[in-house]
Amino acid sequence: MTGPHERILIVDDEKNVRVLYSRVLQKEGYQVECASSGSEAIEKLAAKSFDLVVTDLKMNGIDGLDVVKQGKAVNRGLPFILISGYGTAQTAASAANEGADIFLMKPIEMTELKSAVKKALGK
Amino acid sequence: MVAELRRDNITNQVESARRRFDDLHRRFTTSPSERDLLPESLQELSNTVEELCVAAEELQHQNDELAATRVLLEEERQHFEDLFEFAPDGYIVTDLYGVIREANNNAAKLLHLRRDFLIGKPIVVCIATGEHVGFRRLLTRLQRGESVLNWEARIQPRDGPCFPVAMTISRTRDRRSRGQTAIGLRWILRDLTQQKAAEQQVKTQLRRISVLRDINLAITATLDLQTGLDVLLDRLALLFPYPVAATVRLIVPETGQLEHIICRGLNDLEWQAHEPSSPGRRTAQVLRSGLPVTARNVQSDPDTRSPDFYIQNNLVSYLGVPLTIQGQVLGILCLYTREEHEFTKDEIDSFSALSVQAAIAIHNSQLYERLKNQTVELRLAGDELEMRVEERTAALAAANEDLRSEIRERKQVEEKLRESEGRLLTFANQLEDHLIANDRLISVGELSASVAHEFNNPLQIILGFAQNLIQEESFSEAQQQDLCIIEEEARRCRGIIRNLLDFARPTSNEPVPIVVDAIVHDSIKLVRGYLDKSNIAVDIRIPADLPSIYGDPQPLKQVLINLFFNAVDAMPNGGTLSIGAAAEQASHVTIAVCDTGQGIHPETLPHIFRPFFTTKKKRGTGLGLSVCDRIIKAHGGSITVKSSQEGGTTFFLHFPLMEGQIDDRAT
Repeated sequence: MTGPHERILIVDDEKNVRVLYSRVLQKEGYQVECASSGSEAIEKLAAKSFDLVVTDLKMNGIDGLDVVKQGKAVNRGLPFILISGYGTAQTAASAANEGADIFLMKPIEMTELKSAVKKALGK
Repeated sequence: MVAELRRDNITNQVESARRRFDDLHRRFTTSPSERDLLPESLQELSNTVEELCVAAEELQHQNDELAATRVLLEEERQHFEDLFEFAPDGYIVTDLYGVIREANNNAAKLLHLRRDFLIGKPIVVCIATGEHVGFRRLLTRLQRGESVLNWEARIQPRDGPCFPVAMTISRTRDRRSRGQTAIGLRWILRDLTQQKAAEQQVKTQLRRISVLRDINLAITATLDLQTGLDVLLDRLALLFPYPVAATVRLIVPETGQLEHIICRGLNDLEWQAHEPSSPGRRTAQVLRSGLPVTARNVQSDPDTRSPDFYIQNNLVSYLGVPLTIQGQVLGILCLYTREEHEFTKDEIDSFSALSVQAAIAIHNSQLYERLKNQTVELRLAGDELEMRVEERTAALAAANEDLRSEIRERKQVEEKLRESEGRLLTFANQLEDHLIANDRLISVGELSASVAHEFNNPLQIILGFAQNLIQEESFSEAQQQDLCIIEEEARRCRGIIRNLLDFARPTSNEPVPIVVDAIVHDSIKLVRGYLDKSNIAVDIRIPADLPSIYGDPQPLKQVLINLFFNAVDAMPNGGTLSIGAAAEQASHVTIAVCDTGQGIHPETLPHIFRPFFTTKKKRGTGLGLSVCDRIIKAHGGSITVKSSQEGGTTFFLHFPLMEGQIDDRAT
């Protein structure tokens, strides 16, 4: 498998979503790592270096906005894609405020995911 | 008592005695034989002597009586002479030809002549010349034998004016002829000057009383001041039989000034111009004293303020009397003569009496005037009272009618209230049901939003994996087609959920431009499945250039979806739901939602926009159309309906265009 080797952290409390995003992005050649909660994601961000974080918004405990906030605190240049099933204009605005680069509303087209990742990685 | 001794008796007695003496003497001398008869004769003689003595005595007695009678007669004569001399009347005794024989003192005094001058003069010289003929007739009648006559004549004294006398003439008779022969005439003269003057005075007084009575009658016959005073002044000539002028002035109670009322014998205007309202000295004196005041000549009187006026108008003597009633001075009545005149007491009294009449007239007229005014006021007050009573009565009647009407209405209202009480109870129950239903709807709405969100993850997974698998080359074409169907359906689900979420999203207050075509299609999408299942075709015809309307898209979608559901309910056996729109009169956009259903019953039609009104029994919430109405009105628009049992029902939603839009379209 050839392709980019950027490291992407996928954060979602829904396992099947994590599997779907991982499959699609791995197929595109990205190195994908998953976190099933906000706190796990923050731990992983502290432990490893990632090029992009794709995170769900609404999660128990630490939610997607907190992940963005804390992730940006660790690495200011790290891009974030926020994907929410509860998306509204208000949540999108909040996401932008916290530093999220792209906000998407579930369910998204896979092509949409791929192009959003590319865009976030500056390709 | 001595028997009356008459001269004949005495003569008879003396004769009888002489005859007896002669008889005795003869018998004695001629026949001595008769001497035996001496004692008898002596006795007879003695009797005669005795009788003579008695007669002599009687004679003496009679002489005494005669002497006494003479004294009495003398006294009486003196008395009568005194009476004659000092009688209050004049006594004249003339012969039958009227030549004066005797006259008493009063007669001389009456005729202004000495008594001795009168004696021997014919009485006719004292009679006024004009009466001489009458005098001669009188004398003739007396000479003919008429005994007593009364005659009035005028005496002309030698000096001084004639004066009236009353004469009583009787004939004097000769005593010797035993009163058979008239020997003269006795004249009793009584001066009638005073009596005549008194009579004249009485006449004058009577005339004045009569005049005053006339005036009184005339004045009491009228209550008009001017008429009463006119009458009074018209009668002045009857009281004052010489040229006079008169004025009446009254005191104005408020100012104390004099007000001219009426005048006679004077130019009214000139008098008013001359006479100031403040009283002069004479007038003031009259008003102050309450008594009559006279001035012999006002032209020269020092109390006169402007003598020239009186000279020009030939006003000379003045008599002013107050007009007084019940001690109150009302004004002044003045009389002016044209020639200098000394007013007599009678005149002053008459004028005063006149002033009393005038005062009564004035007082009466004032009272009448007051009474008239009071009557008018009373009548007005009465009228007003009557009017008020009428008004009040009318108002009362109206109020009563209102009250009755109100009672009727209240009864009706009570009746309706009783009727509606039952309805209200039902309504309350319905309301409770509706509120429960509403709450349930809200919960369902919230739940559906939540569920819709929950669906996003599974949809994401389905859509994502389907799209991922489609890439797999190992799948057959049929499998790939199946995957495409999964993908497509997942997308459809996504669309439904997004619409549902849009619909459930809280409304915003700021109006935004809404494209009618888009909102209609979005709304249709939400009920598409339901429409298809109900065998209902959709026909949307919206012009491309239709202006946008302004508002909140969410509630408008709610309105459209409500109408779509109603249309589905109206077409249980399927039909067509047509949605059209048009700009009307450049000021409105109207969206029409039309079904081909059974129509709304005409009795139901007026009630369809009322809250909680429903024909769907337990199925409907009854909130639909009333909510629609409220939402459209909140957009400044209105909702109307047209329905027929045959042609279905059309709802029209009218939206006003914004000002800028109207201008744009107009241009």
